Amino acid sequence: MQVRVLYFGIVRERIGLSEEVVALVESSTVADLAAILSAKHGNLAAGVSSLRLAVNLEYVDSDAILHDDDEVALIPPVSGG
Amino acid sequence: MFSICDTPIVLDRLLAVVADPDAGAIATFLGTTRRTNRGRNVLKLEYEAYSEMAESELRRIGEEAGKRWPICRVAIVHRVGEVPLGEASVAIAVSAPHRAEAIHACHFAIDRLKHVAPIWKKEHFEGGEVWIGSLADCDHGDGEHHDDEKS
Repeated sequence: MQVRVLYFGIVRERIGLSEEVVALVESSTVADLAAILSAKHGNLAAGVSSLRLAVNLEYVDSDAILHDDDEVALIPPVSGG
Repeated sequence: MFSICDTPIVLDRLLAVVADPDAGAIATFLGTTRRTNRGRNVLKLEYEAYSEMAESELRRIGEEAGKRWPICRVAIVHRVGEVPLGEASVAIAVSAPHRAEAIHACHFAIDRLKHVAPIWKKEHFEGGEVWIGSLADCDHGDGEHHDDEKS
């Protein structure tokens, strides 16, 4: 299966991508995906105190199971307002 | 109205949305781009949003406000792209039968927005630029209380 990963703000700038498609084995979790992305791009959380993840527009915990065609977003510390 | 826009915010549009014959008060909040931040001379702010999720979160904030206080209507708009000094980056309007609820709900909405809405601010200042909330931003601090509230 595959998921679409979106990058924003400092993470998008640091890795030079705004999105990419990543292939995963079935029943992968958000934490599994984060490990794959960190191996590929270096520490995703570099430069930030924390990184939250969202799947299909909702914040999720790292043990959330991913499904084919999910949209996953890496959310660095927000600073709207 | 819960939206992300890339043009200057027109408060009248929010007021039109929250107008309600059952309301006796409308509270509004505008967050504007300030000239200085933590000792830095700000040139402009640049906002980026995960628009679809941000609009969903703004709607949820409106719904949460409606559960906490007896209010009529809520509108929240956040601007993205470059926001020059003195212009609004965010606007909130809340109508309610009475003023206290409108004001409390408006205050709640901007505080929640700052914690949950997937929106990011890059500050362009004299001598550099920094993503607000990143470690570089925190390291740049001068020990003052970190508060980028703009009102």
